[in-house]
Formats: sequence, structure tokens, C-alpha cells
Amino acid sequence: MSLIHFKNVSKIYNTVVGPLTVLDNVSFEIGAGEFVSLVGKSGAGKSTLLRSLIAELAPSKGKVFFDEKDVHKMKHRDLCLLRRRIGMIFQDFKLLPDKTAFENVAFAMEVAGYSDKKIREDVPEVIKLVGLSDKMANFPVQLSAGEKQRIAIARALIQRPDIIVADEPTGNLDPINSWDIIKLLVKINELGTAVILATHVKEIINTIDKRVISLDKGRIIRDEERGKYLI
Amino acid sequence: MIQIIRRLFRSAWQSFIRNGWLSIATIVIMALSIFIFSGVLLFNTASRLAIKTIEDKVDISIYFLSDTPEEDIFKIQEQIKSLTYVSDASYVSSQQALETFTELRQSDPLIAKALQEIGENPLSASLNIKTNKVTDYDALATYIQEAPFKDKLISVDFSQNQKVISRLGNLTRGLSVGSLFLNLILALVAVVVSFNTIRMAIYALREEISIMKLSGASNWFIRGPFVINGILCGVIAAVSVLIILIPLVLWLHPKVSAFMPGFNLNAYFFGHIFVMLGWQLLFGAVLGAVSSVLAVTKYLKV
Ligand SMILES: Nc1ncnc2c1ncn2[C@@H]1O[C@H](COP(=O)(O)OP(=O)(O)O)[C@@H](O)[C@H]1O
Ligand SMILES: [Mg+2]
Repeated sequence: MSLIHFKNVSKIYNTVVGPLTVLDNVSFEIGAGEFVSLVGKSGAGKSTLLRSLIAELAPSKGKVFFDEKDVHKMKHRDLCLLRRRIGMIFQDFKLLPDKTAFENVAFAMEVAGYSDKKIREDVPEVIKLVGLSDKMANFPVQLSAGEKQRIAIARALIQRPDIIVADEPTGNLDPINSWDIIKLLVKINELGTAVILATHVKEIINTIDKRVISLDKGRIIRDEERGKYLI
Repeated sequence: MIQIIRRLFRSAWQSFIRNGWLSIATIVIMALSIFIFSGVLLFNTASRLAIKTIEDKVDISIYFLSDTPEEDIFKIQEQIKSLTYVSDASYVSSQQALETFTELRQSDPLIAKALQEIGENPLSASLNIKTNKVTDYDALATYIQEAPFKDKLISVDFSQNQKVISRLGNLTRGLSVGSLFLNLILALVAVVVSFNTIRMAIYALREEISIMKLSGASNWFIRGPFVINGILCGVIAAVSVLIILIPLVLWLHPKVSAFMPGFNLNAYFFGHIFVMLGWQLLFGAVLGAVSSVLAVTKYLKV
């Protein structure tokens, strides 16, 4: 039984210069606890694919299943629950600027209705896991890029998601911070959470040595168990 | 449930404080709207009250020759009272007129002395006539001019009232149509401006709304703090307007009294202060809440 199942998914944008196919008949499955790298040049359609997984946008054709359920047929309530099971990490961090690091992580728990007591217990725990215990009271502007991304990871982790979806998480980071983030993601995966890592950085993929799905012009051109970045 | 409510308020309060300038700008704009709203309200009631006071004051007095017997005057009074548009015709004997006159000028020794020197009562008996409507005075005036008892009169005291009367008639009609129209426009402007301010404030936070959505927050979980925030801004704006109005009314009171003698602005304002505050709060809160809901919903579609 797969956790995620893309079935013949296409996304076509109608632009001024005519229809633009961004995803072209994409099909794949990801099992629980898997680590998958999604690679491809900039503009290959990686973000579009991930955004259709969380129903931020709807595919033009095909279906996306999460835990056997069609995510694009979900009611509002189920969609909220789905998004709590998927921890998203973005290139631009997407932290709430008027909340502190602690509150940003806590927000994901408040959304899910956890008690204040549980929040006070869990949030420092997870922030410790990403190594930022001393920066809990800082606002995002008072954090470096690498620290922001680690808080974003803590936020993604706090809901104990089934999968972490990271879209170019190292895009705004220097090499050292990038490696820290990648190591963190690998560690999270080893603790049992599935991970999808979208990136266009070769070195990263080649060292991870896990499954790689290669995307080019919206099409899957390779899907290998222990892949390398070959494009 | 209590936890959810507490969280909503905490979150609303946090964003209110941390987006301080945005909150202040919103409050100022909403205060202006509420100020216009209550100004319009106050002006409306004040002008309606003032017109009523003046209407009550406007009357026609006819003065009789001193040799007219009282019975004749009573007959004429009956005739006038029987006219459909007359609401009242009260008789003032020359004796009564004198008493009122001396009473009013008690403190003036010169007048008292003059009266003594004349020896007899120089004032005449009169009928004081009021009509149902201001606009009926023309008819009454014509009636008196053509009446058979005209040769018993010394004077008809309406010439100086005439202008006021006709002006008042126009004013009443003009005000009810004009002020309704003006009110509608001002209220609309106030609503649109406030709505746009709130919309812009929320537009500035659209990124955050989409982040919340992607964290799995339900629509009402996201809307809640914004709505509370909107209400908070509206309530603060309403209270500030009232605080500004108090010295303004105190300052305006003597000017208004001079302009419209029958109307006591102070008494009116302070007598209705809680009703007024109630309307302002309601206006502010509803405006804030509705604007927020509409504005946020636009960014909830992710
Ligand atoms: N709203 C849109 N309208 C038209 N084209 C779009 C839109 N969003 C994305 N695209 C196009 O889709 C393609 C894939 O984008 P994206 O999925 O972001 O690629 P990647 O994440 O792999 O860099 C790009 O060519 C981009 O220009
Ligand atoms: Mg991308």
C-alpha cells in the first residue's frame, strides 16, 4: 500500500502564447518511510508536482492519492487534516513574521487543537532537535537563513507528519548550512518519516544515495532505487 | 472550546500589537467613519428637534382694540378654533399681558416708573394662534386679513414671523430629503473607506494566510483572529470618537444655543450618550467584522 500515488497527472497552463504543459502524464508511487529525491532543472515542474500533492493547485488531468484518498476531491475539513499529515518545507521558509520561533512551531500544533500544556512540552523538544533551543524567543528577522530553515523543519515535524515535503530547502542557504539541513532530513527519515526532497543540486543527490525521480519538461525520465543526478 | 476561544483572542491581540502601525491606521480611518456617522446622526436629530421647537414657537398674535368687549373676543376665539388647521388659540387678557410684561422687566426701575406715570394699562388683549403645520400659516394669515372682525384689531403680529415661517417650511422639506441623501452618501463613503483600509491591512498579510492554510488551519481558525481584530479596531475607534465628541459638544453648546434657542445640545448629547455609544460600537464592530470576513475570505481559496 502506497502513501502517495500520482496517477497520470498532467498540468497544463493556458498562457498568452498558448497552452503550456508543465506536468505531462506523471505517474509514481511513494511508500511510507521512503526517502525520495525529485530532481530536474529549474522549470522542470517539481514545485508544480508538490503543490498538487497538497492540493494547493489542481491538476488538469489525472489523480493524486494520499493514503488511497483522492486529495482533489476532499472536503475542506479533510483537506485540513491532510495538510497536517504533510510537513512542508520551502526555499523561502514561509515563517509567520509576527510570531516568534516558538510560536511559529506552536502554531502548527494549535491548528491541530493540541492543549497548551502539550504545546509547552513538545515545542521545546522539537526545537532542541533542530539545535535552536537558545533562539526560541527570536522573531524570524532575528534568525539567519539556516536558522529559519531549521525552525521551518521543526514546524513541519511537530505534527508528526507521515511525510516531509521539502521544495528546494537549500535554495537560499550557503553550502555548510545546506549540508546541515540535508543531514537533518536524512536523520528524520531514519526515524521513520517519509521525505520528498525536490532539488536541482547534483552534489546533494549523489551523496544521499537513495531513490531518485528525474523530471524533465514535466515528464518523468528516470525513476531509480539508488539513483544519481544524471541530467 | 474555551481553549480555542482563548487562542483566538490571544492570536488576535498579538497581531494587533505586533502590527501596531497597521492597527493604528485602521483605527484612525474607522474613527473618522464613525465620527461622520455620529455627526450625521447628531445633526439629524438636532435639526429635527430644532425645527420642532421653532415650529412650536411660531404663531400669530392678533391684538384687539382696547374697547373690544371680552365676549366678542371669546366668540372670535371660538370661530378661529373651529378652523381645521388651527391647533390652538389662547386668549391673553390685557391684565395678563401687563403682569407678564412687568414680571419680565421687574428689575428695570425705569419701565416700572413709566408704567406708573401712564396710570392705565397700555397693553391690549390678544389671541395667540397656532396651526397644526408650519405651512398652514399662509391660510391663517389670509383668513385673518379677510375676516369680519378685522376692524376690531389693532395689529396682527405675523409680519416678522412670516419670513421665518416660510423659510422654515422650505428648510423642513429640504432637510428631510437632503439629509437622507447626504446621510446615505456619507455612510456609504465611511463604509467603503473602512472596508478598503481593512482590506489593505489584510492584503499585507495574505502570505501569512496562505502559510496558515498550508499548515492545515481551517478557514475559521484563520478568519477568527482577523475578525476579532476588526471588531477590536471598530470598538476602539468608537470609544475614541465618543471621547473626542465630549469636549467638542461642550465647546459647541453655547454656539448652538445662540443659534437655536430652544435646543439644548448638552442635555441632548449627555442624555443620549449611552444610546449614542451603543450605535457607534455596533456600527464599528459590525463594520470591522464584516470587512474582515470579506477581506480574508478572498485569500482563503488556496
Ligand atoms: N501560474 C502559472 N502560469 C503559467 N505558467 C506557470 C505558472 N506557474 C508555473 N508555471 C510554469 O511552470 C513551469 C514549471 O514550474 P515549477 O513547477 O515551479 O518548476 P520547478 O519547481 O521545477 O523549477 C515553469 O516553466 C513555470 O514558468
Ligand atoms: Mg520550484
